[in-house]
Amino acid sequence: MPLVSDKIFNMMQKGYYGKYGGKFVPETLIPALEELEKGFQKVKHDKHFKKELDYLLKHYAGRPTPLYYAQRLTEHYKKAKIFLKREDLLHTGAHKINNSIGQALLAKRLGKKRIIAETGAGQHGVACATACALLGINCEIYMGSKDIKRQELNVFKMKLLGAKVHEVKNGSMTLKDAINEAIRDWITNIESTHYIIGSVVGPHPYPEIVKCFQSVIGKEVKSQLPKNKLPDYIVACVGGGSNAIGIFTQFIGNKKIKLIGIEAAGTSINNKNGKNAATLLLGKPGVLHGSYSYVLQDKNGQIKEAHSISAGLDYPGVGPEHSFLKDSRLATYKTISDKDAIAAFYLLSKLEGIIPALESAHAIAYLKYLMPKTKKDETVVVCLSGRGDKDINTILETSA
Amino acid sequence: MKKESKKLLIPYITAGYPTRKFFLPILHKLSSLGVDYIEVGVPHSDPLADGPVIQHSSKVALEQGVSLKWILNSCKKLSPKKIKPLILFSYFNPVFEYGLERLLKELPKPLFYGLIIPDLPFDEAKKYISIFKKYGLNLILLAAPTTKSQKIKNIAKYSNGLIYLVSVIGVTGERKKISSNVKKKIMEIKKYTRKPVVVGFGIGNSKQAKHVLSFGADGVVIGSAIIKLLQGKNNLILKKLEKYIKSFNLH
Repeated sequence: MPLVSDKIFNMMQKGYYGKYGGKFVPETLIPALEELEKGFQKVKHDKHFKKELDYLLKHYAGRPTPLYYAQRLTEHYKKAKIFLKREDLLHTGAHKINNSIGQALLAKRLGKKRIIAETGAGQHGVACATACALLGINCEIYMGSKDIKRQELNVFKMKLLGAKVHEVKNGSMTLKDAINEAIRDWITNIESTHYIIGSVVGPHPYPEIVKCFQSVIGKEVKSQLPKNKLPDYIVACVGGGSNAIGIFTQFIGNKKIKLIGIEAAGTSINNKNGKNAATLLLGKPGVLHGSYSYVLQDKNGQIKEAHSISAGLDYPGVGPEHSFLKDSRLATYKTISDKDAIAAFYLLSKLEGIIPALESAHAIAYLKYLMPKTKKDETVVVCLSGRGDKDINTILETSA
Repeated sequence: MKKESKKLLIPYITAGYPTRKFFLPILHKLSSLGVDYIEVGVPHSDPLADGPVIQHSSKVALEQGVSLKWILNSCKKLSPKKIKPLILFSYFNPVFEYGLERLLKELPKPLFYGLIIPDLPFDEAKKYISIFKKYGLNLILLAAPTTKSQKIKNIAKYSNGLIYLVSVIGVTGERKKISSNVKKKIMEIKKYTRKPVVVGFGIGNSKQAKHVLSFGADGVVIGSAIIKLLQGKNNLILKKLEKYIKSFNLH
């Protein structure tokens, strides 16, 4: 039986999710995007590619990841059963590796000799550096100064893996400007280079490619619940939104399943001086990094700086498909503050012996608000997108 | 040179750089020097097609509160008799947020000749072409060294007023060398249209300009080299600008 989501998406104009998406980039990049799209369509149906990717995901990255019944966390709330999709157990510690391996293999098929990537929290940077080391491709990573400081360990890892790390001192000095610099590099080196975008953002076909490589998360969930039950709620954090799209895709359009994306409320979403990364809640549709989607911006159309304690959510844009899912109410989006995320970081560590990434801690934190509304016979699946080792320093600083 | 081969010189400035009070004097100065059009850059927080020089000018202008609205207000009193036709250069988001139709309606004509939107490639731009016609402004499309033949044909057909050929695979900023590929692209565009083809990105001096013109281009756009001249806050910059523009001597 075809999924409702297939019907919805078949109706859409190519490269768009409803009115969102598109290719808002300089003409110079258009042929590269077309080449990428062609190459992607080709490998999508190529048995050898699929076989190679599946092999690496299984034997190198560690798929499938468990869907773990969090018994003590469930007992803590005494409501629905809580399951954690353990993307944190993957090689390099987050879901990012699904996309990096996929795109690095794709780049190889396209004959590209060099890979560039941006990174915020450093997880995507590490995942790309890893995939490139594995496949023997040169790798250069763009990372904002601010993120280099707060994610020191990941910077060291990238270098260890043979990647060159470029510090980005422009603008926000975080993920947004790292993407700008990566795009500028790509405009300049388009013939030799493939740009691995780490989230479901950027010009078409990137949101589609990243979604394709991340949708393995949801596909696994579908067959992992006891008695092949489907979940009642799926919760995932949203920065650009790749782990959320990855776990949502299989279930979009199924009205019995509530899909909930969690954005970073930072210090506050209500206070005028509050700093946050609640793009879908507080932003307006506009163009950033090549696609039309919700964006945090001022009245003159300048992009605002985002804030989140979690570097991976600290982004003033969001993937165009999330904008579509929000407007069409196929998913709902909520926010969690820095403070709640830190509390959840401690809670999961103590109750389950799992130290979550601060990004994923946002999804865990939402349980505090969701669980009282659930029933005992229901199931909640939380995408635990990454592990928290990289955030220990940030946590130490906040508790100092 | 013969009249029909008059070459176009198009300087680019970032509005409000180096300071807001220089905006109108620079427009007057450039106009008096006989340039053909002036590109007026709207500063943006995320100028992804620009190199470090224009990025910096954009940042400085934004810090001084320059916005599309401020530019429109500043240009209101300008006389098209004294000022050469202006081409608004803006990334799409400031235009989109202002409202494209509202902007096209409010831009004074004939003071403004058209718009260049560097992150609105042909595929995204085509749905807006009719609305530009409605308000009598030219949507000037960019062609790149990487652009395929079929797309070149469309750009040549649908670009209004001028066709802007990007000379480098890369962002704005001066380069040491002009690629010979530029000549091929100019000839390719000219197969389809008689509209003037102007070349920009990477041209920094009169020697390079003449080189590009010898390929058959109808004009050149000078950006980063001019922004570099404008560093400083005293009136000397207008003198430097005059000397620089005169060095082109294209006419």
